[in-house]
Amino acid sequence: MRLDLKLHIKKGSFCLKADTQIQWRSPCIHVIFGESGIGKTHLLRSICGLEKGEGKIHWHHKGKTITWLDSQQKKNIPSHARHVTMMFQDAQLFPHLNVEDNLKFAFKRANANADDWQHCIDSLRLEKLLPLNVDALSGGQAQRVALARAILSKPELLILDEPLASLDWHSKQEVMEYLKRLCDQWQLPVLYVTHDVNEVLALAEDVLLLHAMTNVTTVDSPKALIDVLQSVDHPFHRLGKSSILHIGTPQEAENMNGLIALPLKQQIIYVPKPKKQSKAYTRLCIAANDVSLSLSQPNDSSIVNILKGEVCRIDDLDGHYLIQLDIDGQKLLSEISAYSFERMNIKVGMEIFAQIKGVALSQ
Amino acid sequence: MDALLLTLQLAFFSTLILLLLATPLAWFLAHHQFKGKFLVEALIALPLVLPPTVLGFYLLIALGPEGPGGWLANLWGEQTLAFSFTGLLIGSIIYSLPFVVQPLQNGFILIGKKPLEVAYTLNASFWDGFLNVILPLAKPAYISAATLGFAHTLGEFGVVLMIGGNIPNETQVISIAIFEQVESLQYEQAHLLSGILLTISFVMLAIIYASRKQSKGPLL
Repeated sequence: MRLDLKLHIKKGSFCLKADTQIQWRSPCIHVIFGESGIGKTHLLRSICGLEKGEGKIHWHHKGKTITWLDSQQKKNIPSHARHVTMMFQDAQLFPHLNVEDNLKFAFKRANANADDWQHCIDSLRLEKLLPLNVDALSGGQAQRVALARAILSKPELLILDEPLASLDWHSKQEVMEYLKRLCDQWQLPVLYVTHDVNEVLALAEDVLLLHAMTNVTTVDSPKALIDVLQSVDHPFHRLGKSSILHIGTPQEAENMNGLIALPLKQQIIYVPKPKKQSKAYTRLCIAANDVSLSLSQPNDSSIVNILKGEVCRIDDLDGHYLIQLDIDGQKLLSEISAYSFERMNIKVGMEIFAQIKGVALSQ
Repeated sequence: MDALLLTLQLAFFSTLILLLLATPLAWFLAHHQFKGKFLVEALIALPLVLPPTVLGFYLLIALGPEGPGGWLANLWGEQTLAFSFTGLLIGSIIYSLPFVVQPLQNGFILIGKKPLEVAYTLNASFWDGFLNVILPLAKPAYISAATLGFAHTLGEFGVVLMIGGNIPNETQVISIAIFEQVESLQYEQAHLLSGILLTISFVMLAIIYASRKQSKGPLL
């Protein structure tokens, strides 16, 4: 499956050029990642056929090539004939229909059978929600229903436009789990848009498509994204201002109530035991403003994770300083105020202690 | 009582035709921007402010033997559309147009394009989406438009007097019948018809406001 894009979208002062190919080696989740307001949504709407664009879109699927858009030849296949389903930021369930009828709206217009229906209801655990009105649903439930509705329309390509943006962390995790499982089971290629690094790390399996301002660039794995996020020169680092640390196999921490130990090369990070015990965790995401610095090893702090490192780079970000540390051979970013920076007299090569307030685990 | 029946018939058919005409018009105005849109909107709103006699006067000329109405009437062997039920219907439609277009337009704007776009991505065509998503969502707007259109046609006087005259069974609507009865001092009859008109109008407006409460939807 491959999507060839050669698009030029212009709307008022806004202008986006995309010239790229997105290839799904096996049906999996691709992520479009970028800051808000740089036209991710425009790009998606053009792929869906909801927005007029100049250029070409070709869709290769099951050995066939379909031209969705070719503005030179005045060809523009309408949205409903493209077999692309889009899931929006807000669930956009039809308010005049209850949950079941919302799902049936998609089901009736798709080439789906009763097994598909049952499978979808079961795997998203929607049985109890079916008779409810859509305004009785919580945010997470509504997105689950929207996901089911999108999948029941049996699309050739599923597009998700920041579907988790309005959800709390717990609902986010839940919907992401479902999404991953369903895409595997239904062999569905997915294009997922987000500006949240954590979502990228949790979901992306193959190619990531990054796009900045008016250009689209691709990197081909979450690892490559991490490198991009860590290279301070790249425009994306401000977006993330997070570090990703690779960890060894998580271990039970002795004498530490409810914590597990995540080994780095020499030092150890402790985190609360996740609800679902999984040995599959391999990465930690740490936001730069969750890392504070100290010149001596603090012994009376409430913070559990204090790592020793060396300052290897300093960047001035208008009133803030972004300090890059080397911790057991990995990079950790810390964001501190100009006042602290001057008071501590931080210099490259200095030995320093990083206190970490919060981490996110991902697989 | 003939006048009452005739009035109800007129209001019913005007409303029906108006809903059909106003739907595409309101949809277009709600979702398209074009040069001179304000002129179209002003034209549609004109009957709100124009004295009915002015509207009636122009209509009388347009519907008469010299106007397009007369040409149209020639097709089935008549001289003029003025002083006929058809002429009255055309007059009512123009007279009540803003009362139907405006609630529908506001309703469509409030619903927005999003639900239809969602329907598109779920493999529904425009008509499929319009009939199964937009129309049900616009129900409160349609109730409001239909009620206002109907009630406004009931209360028509000036336009009818100008283009319809006062022919019993053909063009004598209730408001004109009342006027005539008062002129000839038949107060008892006038009381009866006025009472009926008052009741109908009140009930219709009560329906509007009740449905507005239920649906929280767009109305006036």
